[in-house]
Amino acid sequence: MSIKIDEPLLESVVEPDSPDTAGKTSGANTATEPKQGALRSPALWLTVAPLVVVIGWALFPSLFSGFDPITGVPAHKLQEPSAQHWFGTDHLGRDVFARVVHGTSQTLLTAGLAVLIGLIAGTGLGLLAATAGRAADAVTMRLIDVLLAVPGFLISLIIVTAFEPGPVSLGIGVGIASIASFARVVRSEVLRVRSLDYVEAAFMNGGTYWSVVFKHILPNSCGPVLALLAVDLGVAILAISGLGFLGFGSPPPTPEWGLLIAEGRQYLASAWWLTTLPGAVIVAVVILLAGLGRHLHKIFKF
Amino acid sequence: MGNPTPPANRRSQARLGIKFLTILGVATLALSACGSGAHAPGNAAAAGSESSGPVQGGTFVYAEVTPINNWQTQAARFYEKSNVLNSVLDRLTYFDAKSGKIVGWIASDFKANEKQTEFTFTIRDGVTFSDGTPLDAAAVKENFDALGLGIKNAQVAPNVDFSAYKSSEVLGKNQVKVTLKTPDANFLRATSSVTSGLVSPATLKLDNAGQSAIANIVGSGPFVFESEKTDEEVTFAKRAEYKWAPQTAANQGAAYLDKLVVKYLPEVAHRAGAVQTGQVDLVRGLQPIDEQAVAAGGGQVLPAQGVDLTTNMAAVRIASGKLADAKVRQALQVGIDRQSIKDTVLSDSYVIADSVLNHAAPGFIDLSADLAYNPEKAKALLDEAGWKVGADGIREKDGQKLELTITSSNNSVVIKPAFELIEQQWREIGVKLINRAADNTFLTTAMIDPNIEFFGTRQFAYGGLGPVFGPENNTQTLNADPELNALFAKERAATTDAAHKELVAEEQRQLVTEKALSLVLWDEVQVYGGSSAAHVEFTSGTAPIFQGAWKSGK
Amino acid sequence: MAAYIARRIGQALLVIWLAYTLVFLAVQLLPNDPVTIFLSADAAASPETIAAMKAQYGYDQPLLVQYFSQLTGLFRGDFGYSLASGQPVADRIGAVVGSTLILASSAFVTAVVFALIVVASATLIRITWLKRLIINLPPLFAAVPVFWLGLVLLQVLSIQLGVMSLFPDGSFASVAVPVFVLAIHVSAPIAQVLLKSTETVYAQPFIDVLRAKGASPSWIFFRHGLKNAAAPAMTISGITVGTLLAGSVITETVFARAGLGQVVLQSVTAQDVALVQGLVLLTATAFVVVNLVVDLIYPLLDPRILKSGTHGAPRALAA
Repeated sequence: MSIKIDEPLLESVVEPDSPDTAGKTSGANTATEPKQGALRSPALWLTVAPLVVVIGWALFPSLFSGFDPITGVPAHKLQEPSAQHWFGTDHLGRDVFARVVHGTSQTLLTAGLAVLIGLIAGTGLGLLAATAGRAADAVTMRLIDVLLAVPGFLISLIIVTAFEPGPVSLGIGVGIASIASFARVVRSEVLRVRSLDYVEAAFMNGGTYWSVVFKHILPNSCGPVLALLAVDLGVAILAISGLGFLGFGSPPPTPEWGLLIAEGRQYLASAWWLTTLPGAVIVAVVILLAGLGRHLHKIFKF
Repeated sequence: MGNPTPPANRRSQARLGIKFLTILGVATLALSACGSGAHAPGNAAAAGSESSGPVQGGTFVYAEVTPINNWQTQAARFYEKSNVLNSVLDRLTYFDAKSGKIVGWIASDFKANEKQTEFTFTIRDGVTFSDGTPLDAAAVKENFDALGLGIKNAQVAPNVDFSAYKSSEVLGKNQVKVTLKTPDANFLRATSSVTSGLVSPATLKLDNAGQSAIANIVGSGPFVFESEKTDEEVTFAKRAEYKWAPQTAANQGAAYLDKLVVKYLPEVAHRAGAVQTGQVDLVRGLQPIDEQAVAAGGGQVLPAQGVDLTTNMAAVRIASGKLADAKVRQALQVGIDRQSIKDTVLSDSYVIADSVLNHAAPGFIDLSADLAYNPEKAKALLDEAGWKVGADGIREKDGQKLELTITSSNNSVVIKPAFELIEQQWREIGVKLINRAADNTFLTTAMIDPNIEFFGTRQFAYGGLGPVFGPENNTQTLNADPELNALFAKERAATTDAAHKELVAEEQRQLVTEKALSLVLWDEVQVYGGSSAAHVEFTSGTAPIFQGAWKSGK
Repeated sequence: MAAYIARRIGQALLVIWLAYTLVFLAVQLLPNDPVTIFLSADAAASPETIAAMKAQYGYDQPLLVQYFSQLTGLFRGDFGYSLASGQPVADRIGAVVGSTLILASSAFVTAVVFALIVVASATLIRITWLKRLIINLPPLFAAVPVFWLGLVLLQVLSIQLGVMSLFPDGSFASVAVPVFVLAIHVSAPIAQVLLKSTETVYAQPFIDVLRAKGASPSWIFFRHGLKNAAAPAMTISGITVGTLLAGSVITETVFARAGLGQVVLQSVTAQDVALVQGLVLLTATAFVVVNLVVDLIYPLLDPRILKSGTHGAPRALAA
């Protein structure tokens, strides 16, 4: 699905509006305790372990499936899930599980590129807004408004149309849409950190603008950003699948996840597994990434 | 076609066979119980219980594939447009697929001079457009001018099938004489196409926006526009005074149906369900895998043969240079395993192509011997042409990889899977196919980009193969081949049937075997799903004939 | 207050203009132009024909001239001509915008109700497993692809159970199901923000004081918790305008509904620049209007905002 959840799952986005947070944040020094607690939480490891498997799929797909993801056996087409073909086979007799496993790397690369674009451009803008003075803030905030006002979705379509659909164009198209959310999170985080006593102290002790930004502000603002990173990865995967649904996906035989559910839907009535099982994988991964985001947020909470 | 069948393959085919038999058995029982005739895949398109005659009245719901916003009639070479306009516009002539002959429609009589440069049409008496204007010789002349010369003020380009048109004049009360610049033996056939549908002079006077709106398109056909919900549905009402159907039509009078509602069902997965649940009476674009389900569920699978069209093909463009050598194109032609395509992604409703013309087209010749799957021959031809297998298995020559791109529209349900399979087959002979089939956005640019090597398509061939492959701007090859064009010109100027037939045969040999500019796949067929109550036949251009359609009473 | 409103309206106009300009630049990336595509439906059109038609619609002018003539056209109420659909842009969009508005606004209201139900039950329910289940609903909602949910619902409700039509026939189900599908997705971020801010409010001492005074949990929630948590949720609601549009495009495609979705796809596929520009103008305006309204209601909920100028972080901290 291609809906962009701007500022997903994160309270920090909106909190700076209420002065209450300022009071809470003064407890920064006691952060170590909940941090270790969060790291020991079994829930965290239950979230991380499956994601590690998914990374394994991306790096060493052949270890997880012996079938060829792009060359099928036509005679074995549209078989139901079985011990041999866990996720069944598709209309050309290709093993669907193999396609999911082998599609992981392209999926993560495309979504990863999208998130990276959002992260870099968003961090830049957010930092600029929060530290470079009132005028810069006003200008940057209007820019962010513009990015939100132009439907990111339309921009994605234009970019994918302008350049042929592939990891790069899809990544850029989806990434542009996530710049605004990163910028807003970074901005509010930096403003929060900026107001902490020790940052004020660092400035007073003669630290230059950049040294304070890089030594103190950025490292201390990265928690929510990391959390947003995890969540946004899931959002990007869904956005790419939504583009695939509308016919703006990578060309076959690429076994990209979003494309698998988008194309498998044609057989919804006759071969349910084609769209349902890869769909379940996406849903699971997106939920796990969202969970990871929450855990990261707890760990880095100051 | 030389496709060895592994044991596993046979087993699964046997299983499939048993399943299919079971389904057929159940279907037969169910159908005999409710007493309406259904058709197994592959049967002729006519339907219905033979015992009772047509029922008057009722509303017929027809689901097309995608909404249309621009209804300008001359640019109606898309099914979703021509299938609807077929029931709104009449033509001068009608191609009767059963006899393979052109018969009278609005022209009660027509004749050509021996050189095929002058055609005289006698216009039937008493025909009127739905706005009341008479459809007389003067109105026909205006239509001819629009078709042959285009309409400048409304940015309407001339119709490609009328490229030889020079002028026309009204003779006496009810005759029109058309003069052509060059001979065209296919001119009469062109006057039978939906794109040459006759519209009221009032419609021709409108600007581009005016002619694009379905509400403004006034024809003399059996159905008249009634109302529209943008992008959702269009409703047509029957014209009660209609009495000028094609000479061979079973129903010579007004339509049996009161109303025709055209809706849109872009999701392929829902089409079978739409007829099974009776939400629509007829749906276009049933995918092969759903045919059994529709038949088993008491519905009808109605394959409409596209006699008026070329076969489905990958038309070849040579501008990128990779396919400039005919040997490479011939290699690709025999590197396609058509039987495997049929077995895997098509159904019994589809017939493998044996030429660029379909089996029922006038002048068809069987080239199956040249089209047999032969990967070894393909590899040898590619080697001869100097394309050597590279490290990654893809052939290369002069540092250039043999990577080819295909574009096509998404409106055929089988074209994308077919090219996915071809992509696999070509990988074995060291050719990489970039499959952009069914990507409509890419298509808009790629269709007119000569560097895109293939256009997956099938075209109306009312004007013969000449207009499809001849003009420099034809979207198939985007190239004017002088040898081919000399052949097309000779064919159009043929004065006897025998000579014409021989030249049409030579065109097919050139396009398929010698020059291999058309990699042919399967005969054009549009598979419709019909509810058990629907009775409908189709034109040779695969359009449903709603004028003769009816629904069993309940 | 009047000065504040005037400033916000000025900013809103600025944002619309920038969005319009940004997309004008973006569409120049497209590989073709609307005229060539329009004329090439049957055969590649001749360069002369293309040139003539480009001249007629002004696509042969230098970019800057095109830009200013389009922009000045807007002030005359001329939004351009959509070649792909054979009608003025305003007519093309106007014919279907109502359908999308109904879908999007109903979905938004439903989404807010969903979110409130989730948050109220998560806060008030004492059974731990049920509470956990409810808290995990929004991430699940956010993770299910909209088109997939829509297709499955249609398959089950329309084809297997026969309780709704595959087509928009005006029946309750044919409106309610698409609204439900879109609302599920839009509700996720609203619910998550609301949950979080409610938690924050509950962590504050005054809630303990209220509890100690013997106030009932539901009274605390509705009288204090929700009120204090509403402001952040309103901000995110303003931002969901874009989400609603993207969601509408897909929902409309799945349910074969007329609406902006069809227009968006048509405009990009046919590279119909005028239509794209018209769409951007519409969505950018919708976005700024909704956010303007949110911004104007905001101070009513939290009077402190007004003092700090634009909503956002406390100004005093910016160096």
